[in-house]
Amino acid sequence: MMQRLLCGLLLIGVTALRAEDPLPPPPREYVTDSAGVIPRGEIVQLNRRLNAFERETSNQIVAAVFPSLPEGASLEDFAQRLYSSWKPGTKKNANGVLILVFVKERKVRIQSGYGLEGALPDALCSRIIRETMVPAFRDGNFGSGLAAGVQAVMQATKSEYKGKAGARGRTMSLKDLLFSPLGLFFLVMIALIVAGRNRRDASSGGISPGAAAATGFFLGSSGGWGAGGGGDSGGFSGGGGESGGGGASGEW
Amino acid sequence: MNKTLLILLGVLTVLILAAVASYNGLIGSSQAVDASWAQVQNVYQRRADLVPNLVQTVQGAANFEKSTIVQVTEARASVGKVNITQNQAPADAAQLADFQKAQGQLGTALSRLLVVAENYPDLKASANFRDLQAQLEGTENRITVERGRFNAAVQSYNTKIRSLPTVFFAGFLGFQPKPYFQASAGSETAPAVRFDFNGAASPSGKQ
Repeated sequence: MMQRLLCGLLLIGVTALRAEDPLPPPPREYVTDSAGVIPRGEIVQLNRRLNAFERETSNQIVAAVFPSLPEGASLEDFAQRLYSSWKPGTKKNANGVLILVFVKERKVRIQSGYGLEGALPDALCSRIIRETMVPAFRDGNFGSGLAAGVQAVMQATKSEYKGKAGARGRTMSLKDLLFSPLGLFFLVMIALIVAGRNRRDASSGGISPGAAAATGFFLGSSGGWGAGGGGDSGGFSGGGGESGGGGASGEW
Repeated sequence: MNKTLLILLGVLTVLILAAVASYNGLIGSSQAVDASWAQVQNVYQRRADLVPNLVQTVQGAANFEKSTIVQVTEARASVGKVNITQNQAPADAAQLADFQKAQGQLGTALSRLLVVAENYPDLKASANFRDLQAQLEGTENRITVERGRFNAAVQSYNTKIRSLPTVFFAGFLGFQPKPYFQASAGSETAPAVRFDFNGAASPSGKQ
């Protein structure tokens, strides 16, 4: 009886999921391979490269290899919905790119965000697919094909936007910095130094070397602090970018 | 006596406040509809801009089927003739239908051209044509996306107009429901039907 009930509940759950047509959840890494066709080492390497690329340019390039398309879904529609859910690229610049590979259907798509349509026009996406990815995929070399495609996309989009060194540091405002423990520590130190200077020598008018050094250290530390704050470096989290359906599809 | 006056005043104030709130909300979603309409026009314009280049490339191919090229050029010309307000979503369903019909004809003519191009291996292999084809496909996909966004914006606006308490003020404040794009399946079959009509009723069909 209990088992039957459980079975029924499970069935309801499954059908409910079906009805909602769930999308794969946003990945925690830039490159994911749920089809198991790329060696782990190559994925790690690509991840590292894409993480560095985001820090450098703020562009978010996300690649995902799937075993197959969901039943009845069209490649372009699925890519669009996935893009809207994963949201690569910053909200402001919409500088994301989504690269999707479907092994069973032998289909690949590069989808560009609004902000990279200029640097990565459809014709170029199509060329990257046809000339660098598809030949490798045909031979079953998914790792090298994807790496070459990612490389070409990075090449095309690298000078479009500027990132700030420290992927997570970018999201930390000055206010956050001031109220972080390290920031408070430096604030107190500067206050002490300035107070000491004022007490010792009010007439000189110049900034004491000690205060200057502390200020310089304080300002200089912001970059380092930012990078340090990103303890989970190597992970991807969507920045809120949107795509207007640009890009290209191909098959092999 | 004095008390009823106060109550009346209170009710009036609440009504005015509600009206102001709905007005602001409606202005916001009306502008969202206009913004997505501008995007729709952008992507259609993008497609229209591809046509001259495409026609030129295709004409370069040895004895390319003339009738397909003529159809594309004519459809492109009739798209330009559709009278539609710029940067403001059409208020009139018939106006939007005209726009959609003309664009649908261009879409059909273009996809026919791509099908015909399959028979010209040299053309298909040329880098120029492949780039154009990719651009065209990308633009068609953009059109689908922006139309979907436009319809979503219109839907949210229309829902707002018809829901409480806005429904009491919307008409009074001059907000009318806005038309949607119809499903694209209809626009794709429409030209084929028209061909049949051409034979039956030539005078109206020729126009």
